[in-house]
Amino acid sequence: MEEVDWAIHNIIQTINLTKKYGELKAVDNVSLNIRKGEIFGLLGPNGAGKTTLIHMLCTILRPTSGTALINGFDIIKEPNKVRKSIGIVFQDPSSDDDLTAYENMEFHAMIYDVPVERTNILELLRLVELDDRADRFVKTFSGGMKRRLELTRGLLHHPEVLFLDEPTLGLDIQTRHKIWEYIREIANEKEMTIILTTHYMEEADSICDRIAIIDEGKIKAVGSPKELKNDLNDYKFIIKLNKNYDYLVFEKELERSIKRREIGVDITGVNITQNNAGNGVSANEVVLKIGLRINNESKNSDALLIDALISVKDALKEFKNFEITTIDLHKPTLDDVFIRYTGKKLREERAPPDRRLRMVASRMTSGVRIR
Amino acid sequence: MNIKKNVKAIYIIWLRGIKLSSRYKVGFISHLGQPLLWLLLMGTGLRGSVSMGSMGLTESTGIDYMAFMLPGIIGMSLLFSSMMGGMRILWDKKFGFLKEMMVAPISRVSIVLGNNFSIATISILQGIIIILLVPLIGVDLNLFYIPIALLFILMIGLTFTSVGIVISTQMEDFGSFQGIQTFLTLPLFLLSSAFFPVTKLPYPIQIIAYFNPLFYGVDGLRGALIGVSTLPMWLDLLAVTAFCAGLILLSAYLFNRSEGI
Repeated sequence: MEEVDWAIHNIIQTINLTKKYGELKAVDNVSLNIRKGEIFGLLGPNGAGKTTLIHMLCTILRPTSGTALINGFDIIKEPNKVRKSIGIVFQDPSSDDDLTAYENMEFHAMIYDVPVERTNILELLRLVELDDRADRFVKTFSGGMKRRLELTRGLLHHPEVLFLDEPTLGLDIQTRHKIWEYIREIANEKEMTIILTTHYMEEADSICDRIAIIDEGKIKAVGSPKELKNDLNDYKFIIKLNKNYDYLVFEKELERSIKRREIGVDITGVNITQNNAGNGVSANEVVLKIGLRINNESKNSDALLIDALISVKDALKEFKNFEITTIDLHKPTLDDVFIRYTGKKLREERAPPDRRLRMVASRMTSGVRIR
Repeated sequence: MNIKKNVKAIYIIWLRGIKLSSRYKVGFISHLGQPLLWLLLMGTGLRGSVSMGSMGLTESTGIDYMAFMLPGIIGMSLLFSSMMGGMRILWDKKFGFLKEMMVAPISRVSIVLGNNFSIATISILQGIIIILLVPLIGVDLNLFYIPIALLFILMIGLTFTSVGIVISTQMEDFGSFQGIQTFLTLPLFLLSSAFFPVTKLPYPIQIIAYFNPLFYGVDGLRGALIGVSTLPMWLDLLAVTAFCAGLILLSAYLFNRSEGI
């Protein structure tokens, strides 16, 4: 069996990468390997250090200590070679409002020394459905259009690695879908490595090959979404029962009855809630929640869960007048993984107030503009 | 090879700046109009009321106050528009385009120089237009020295664009930028000998004026345009060039060091 040399396959390798602002460690000793061709997600609450990490990798910020290799080049010693190897779409707009979409692309091509014809640029703009607006000023563009322009601009110089910092933040669902579609296409067609941060867990789950959860500047967990969810090992049966029986009286007995059975999984808790209408529960229903943990790694988890469910049903049969209306299996989601490692719910966070608005405000107060 | 790359990068940044300026014709014209108004209203008003003797010039030189003021007004126009132009760096920082330039495979120095040259180009263009309009207001120019005058104009433009960029790297918002700019421009202007020779000032203040790059710029420009100057022209040129080089270096150094994105 030959040994795989990951050093060759790792297109990005960070080595004890650290950024301090005074006492605050925005990025704390991060050592991370990202493989060539994968879509890698960085997830973390606001202020976790995602953007700082990306800015260091893009050579905008200088690390306080440690370094990173991108495409074999050191971000501190060979920034220009790193810059040639990467493309980036920032969280906030980074196109020139006073140039047209075409001129922004042209500037990019010139500064990256990529020879392009007008037709090349128009073709790239057509990819993101902006070719009909090529000669309009970017200041007339919506947030989603700017993001699309910057996405296609970031690809203009054929980078090995594409960084996307919150590529869909603050965009409507349709635009978000479109952007993910482009990202998938790019990843498939060009075999590009993509590093992205996002606030949308389902999107990260469906698009990323691997994910790192980052909080307080530290990497808390790395793995494929599936691995991370499996590692959490936290399943739940949510069983709705009709309400012609006083379940609460039998809660303990029911728990004992379920636990007595050899169901191949560990019961972590049994909980019955009654009189809790709303949230999809009608007034004549009670909800039985059973927490489960799989303790047999050699068997297929789905098979184990089905066995367990049958056992639970049998246990319930010992009691009279039960009628099951629905059974749900709650498998761990990336949200659960996120909460486990950060103690925070990502959804509680809001996108920061629209930066454009603040800028418009400062434009109004700053008075004249001379260029 | 590296130099060639840098020159190309400077050119690209410069070209973008010129493109932007060409879209702000209103700004260009208003910046041109201001010095012309100064010349026409202040110049004609004072032409009759200020005796050239009191300016330290004999009446026999044939230079009236309007002619005396002309280099000062060109200097003022360059001072204002160049320093305001330096705000572009702050503007790009605020609106994000600076990031696009910072991740591009070009040196930080080429970003500073490209911006500096494009802003200075526009300022110098304004200076040249004023010179072209001068015959209309009845001031005789020393045509032979016009190239030297343009050299002084170039130096003043680059110097104060650098000052603007230096302020840009240190400020986070437009309000602070304008505060500092206003705070600086008035003393720079008054101590430049634009309206009166600095030799008319009390000695301690005169000393301060000698630390003012605009003084050497205006004095040299006056020497070149109308043939009168406090210091020898070569000394003015030497001083203003030294200031210019120093400030360009300082702006590049500060820009390179700044991380406020």
